[in-house]
Amino acid sequence: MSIIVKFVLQNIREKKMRTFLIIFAIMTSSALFFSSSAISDTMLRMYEDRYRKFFGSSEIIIYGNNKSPTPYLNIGKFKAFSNDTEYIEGVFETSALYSPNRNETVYISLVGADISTYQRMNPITFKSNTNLYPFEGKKIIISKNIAQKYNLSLGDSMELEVNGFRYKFYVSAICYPQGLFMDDGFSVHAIVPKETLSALYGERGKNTIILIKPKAGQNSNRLIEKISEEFNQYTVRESISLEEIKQNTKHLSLILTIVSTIVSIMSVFIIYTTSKIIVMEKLPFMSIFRSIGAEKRMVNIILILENTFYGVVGGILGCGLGIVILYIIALNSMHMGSSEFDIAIQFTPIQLIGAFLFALLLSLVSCIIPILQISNIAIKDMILRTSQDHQGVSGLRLLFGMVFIVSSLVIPIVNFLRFKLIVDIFCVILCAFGIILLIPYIVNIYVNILKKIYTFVFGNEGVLAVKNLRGNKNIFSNISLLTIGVSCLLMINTVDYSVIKEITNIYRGALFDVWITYIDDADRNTLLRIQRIEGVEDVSGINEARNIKIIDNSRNEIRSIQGVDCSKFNDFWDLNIYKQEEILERLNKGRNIILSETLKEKFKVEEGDFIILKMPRGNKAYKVIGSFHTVRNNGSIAFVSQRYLKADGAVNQYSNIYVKTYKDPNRIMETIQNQLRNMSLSINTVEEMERLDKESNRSFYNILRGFFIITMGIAVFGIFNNLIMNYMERKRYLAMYRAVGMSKDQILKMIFIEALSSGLIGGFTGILTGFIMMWQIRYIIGALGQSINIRFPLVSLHYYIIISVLIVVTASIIPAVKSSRLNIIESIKYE
Amino acid sequence: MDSIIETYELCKSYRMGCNEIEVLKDINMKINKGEFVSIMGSSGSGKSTLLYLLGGLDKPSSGSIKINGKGLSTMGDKKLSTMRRREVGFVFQFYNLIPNLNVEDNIMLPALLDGKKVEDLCSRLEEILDIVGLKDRRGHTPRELSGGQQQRVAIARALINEPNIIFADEPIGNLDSKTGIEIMELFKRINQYNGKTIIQVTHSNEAAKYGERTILMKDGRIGEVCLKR
Repeated sequence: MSIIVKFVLQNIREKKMRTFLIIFAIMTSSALFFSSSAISDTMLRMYEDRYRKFFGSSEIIIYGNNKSPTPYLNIGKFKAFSNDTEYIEGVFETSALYSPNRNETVYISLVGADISTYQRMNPITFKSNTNLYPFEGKKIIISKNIAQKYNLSLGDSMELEVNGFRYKFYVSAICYPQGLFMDDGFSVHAIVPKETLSALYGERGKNTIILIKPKAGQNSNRLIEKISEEFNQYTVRESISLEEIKQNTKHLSLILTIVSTIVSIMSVFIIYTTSKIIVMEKLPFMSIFRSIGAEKRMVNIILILENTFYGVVGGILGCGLGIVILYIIALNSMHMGSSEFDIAIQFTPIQLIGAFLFALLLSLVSCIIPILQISNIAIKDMILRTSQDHQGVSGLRLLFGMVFIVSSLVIPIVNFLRFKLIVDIFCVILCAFGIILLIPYIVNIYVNILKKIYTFVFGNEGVLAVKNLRGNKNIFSNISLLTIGVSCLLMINTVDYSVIKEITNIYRGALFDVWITYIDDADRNTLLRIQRIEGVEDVSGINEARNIKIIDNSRNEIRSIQGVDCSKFNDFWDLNIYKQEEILERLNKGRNIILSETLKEKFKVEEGDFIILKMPRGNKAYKVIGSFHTVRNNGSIAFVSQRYLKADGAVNQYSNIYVKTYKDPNRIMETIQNQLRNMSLSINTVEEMERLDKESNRSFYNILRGFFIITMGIAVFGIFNNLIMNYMERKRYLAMYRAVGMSKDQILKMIFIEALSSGLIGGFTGILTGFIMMWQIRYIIGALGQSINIRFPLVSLHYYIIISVLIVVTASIIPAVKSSRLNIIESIKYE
Repeated sequence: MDSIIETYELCKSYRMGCNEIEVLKDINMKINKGEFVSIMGSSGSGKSTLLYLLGGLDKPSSGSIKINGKGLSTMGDKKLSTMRRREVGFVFQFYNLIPNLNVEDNIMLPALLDGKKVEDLCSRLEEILDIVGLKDRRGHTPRELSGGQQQRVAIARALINEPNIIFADEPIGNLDSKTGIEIMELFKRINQYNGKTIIQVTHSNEAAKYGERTILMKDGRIGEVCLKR
């Protein structure tokens, strides 16, 4: 046995490049496998941390709403539930304005709390403090980041505008960015004594939010029900809905799973070809082993042992790389590049072991076919090297290829309800397999076309080169790798391009300049205040009812129903609907609704049909009078007349305000911010919002692109491998060419034309496959509840072909040089 | 008679580790135009090496070779390749056909490498297919042919550019005796009716008898020359 181990280790040591390649492929695949399996948990943890920042360890929160007699809550009223709870605490939350200098105003979320009880709920760590206890009066606790940013030290005063009045608070403690002070990149928090803050509102000792942690073993949902019954005029809910977070993270996890599957398929391909090279190279030694009495089993053990080594090393490295990739994805998906948000990646030992076993399995599965092939070779053939692969393409391959592709196109049309998404993803993979099976036939078609072109362009060497592609399994592997790589890149770029186009279209339809969102308590007076600002041309406010259910189909809901001022809407939005003005007029005349095309398709309704909405003031039937295409709110958006939404939805305040200006929108934005500084809002110019949306979209697709660039990197190695393999297998034939008079230049020319042709075929087939796959992707997007008009980035298609050609031509340099230098006699006599 | 191949003090040696193995030693020989010469000798006597050197597939360690009066040692790769295409033809023991090219393509290969157009080769191809008797197999790939048929394709390939010289390295070494005789008869016809000079390396006395002259090699030297009576 030791001789076998020695032999294996010797092989690995001698073939450093090959060892690196195979380990690299296994490592990358297992890393992607690991990151796609762990991303869900990580995202879940990160979102949870984000929410925990506000709610600490509490599981239930209670706060006032429109129905509540007062937004201020007395904690004593909740003491009845103390038997079921670990704690019931209250905080007084509000916002304040802080102007560190004349030109800057910052919103600060103030949390009024008793510091000792707050520490129990949501611990914070002090970096330094002075005179903090007793925590009362005008003391304020800020984060280290804010202290650094505004040059604040212990004892410094901060003038805050609270409830319309200015008060001086003194910095009593500076905290590390943990808990409430965790930097999320957009909110600024500070803690002040609850007694002080509530007194500023004339509600001494009261709270705006009650936070509850049920006792261990207590069912929080039952407690929520219990509290809701008694406090039915208040909102009582889970502080963090893990289900909701899971829904949010599901998509990313799913997409990464698709990517990981495709990467794994490519890796199997690459490792298979590498294993084949290893087996081919070992054939002479194997024949010696076999001829002197070694059993098949022993020869197989050598090969399996070597691949096990690759699997183990690749698996261990893959787990490490997977953690790094997971971190990068988490960082990118939270869009926290510049902030100090703590990226806490989450994974289980089982996931690590899973990735390791995946690497091992990948490595062993990929070497099984070459091992089976070698164990079937007769010893005589091994010694004389007379065994030959069965060439020729079986008709079954054509049949299966066609069946796979046709099925992958037809199946998505059928609705498998809850399995639809999985079925659609399966179809993408099925399509990829179908194409791989058809590659030999596709190559034959290209060969017939290229033959005619090359006669004129490259002469006889060109024709010979293109004929060499036929029946060449290594070239087929290369073309398959390129096809899958290119089609996946095209797929990602197409979706990205389409989404960017959709975003552009949204903002192109926005005929205003400044967009105010997430505004609290905005009414007609707010609109008038904005209207009066110099430079403001017109203002329009939008009421909004969110998450409105459709009756008869409880699974469906509309995320946002917007009540529009029909007389003005036309001046603010171009929805690209035929006769928009006319439709808006009709919208105003009754309970009419304009649905997004996504919703229209989802509800399976046509113009003239009625849908019944479960509105806060009862079920109301709305008539569908039109539809428009948009990806806003993921397409879950509808417009009704403002007056009906006010009446049925009980929404009197504006959630969105559109502002038109004839001046610089940035200036107007600043002025509005100053005018409405006592209100909580989010404001931006339309131009900036478009830029931010595109950037956020880009960063998501960059993750996917990153994955595929890594995969293409493996593919390049795979292609290089295949070409070396091709050279090894064809050495004899290349020598024959030389023997019958092919010069070195001609052989170089022929090999580079072969590479060029492989690149062209791979590139073109990849583009074609990408187009076909977009059919399934369209359904996947639909199954994810979104609707995007797919637009192919046609102007950049040539890049895919150029990249494919460059990859193969570059990878061909070494085999080409080797081919031109080969010893004719040695190759003919001894190969 | 005009000599078509001449060698002067031709030597070939290989390095094997620290040792230098002399495969050919001072070979001086002349082969006349239209001759059918057989080279025989035991394994390792240097007969195949001599054949490859004559055909420009390998370079001598010293000495010189002239083919049609032109010295091979002064030729670069391009000229040497052209010489291999136009002036000589090779037939190997294991046929050495290109597996993914059909019979026609394999036969036309040297002409295509020489830049000739397929349409200009049609009549020549017909003529050669007729000579080797493979008209009905023209569209087949090598793996669809028997050993004898593959060797006929190799012979046809050697003839396509109408070279004056054909080198054959154990042309029937991989064939059964009946097919071997057929192939040798074909060589004989090519020699007699087409006037080609044929130099074959063989282990078979029967095959050697087809030559007008047999050169016997021993330990890298020409030992004996037997003339056919």
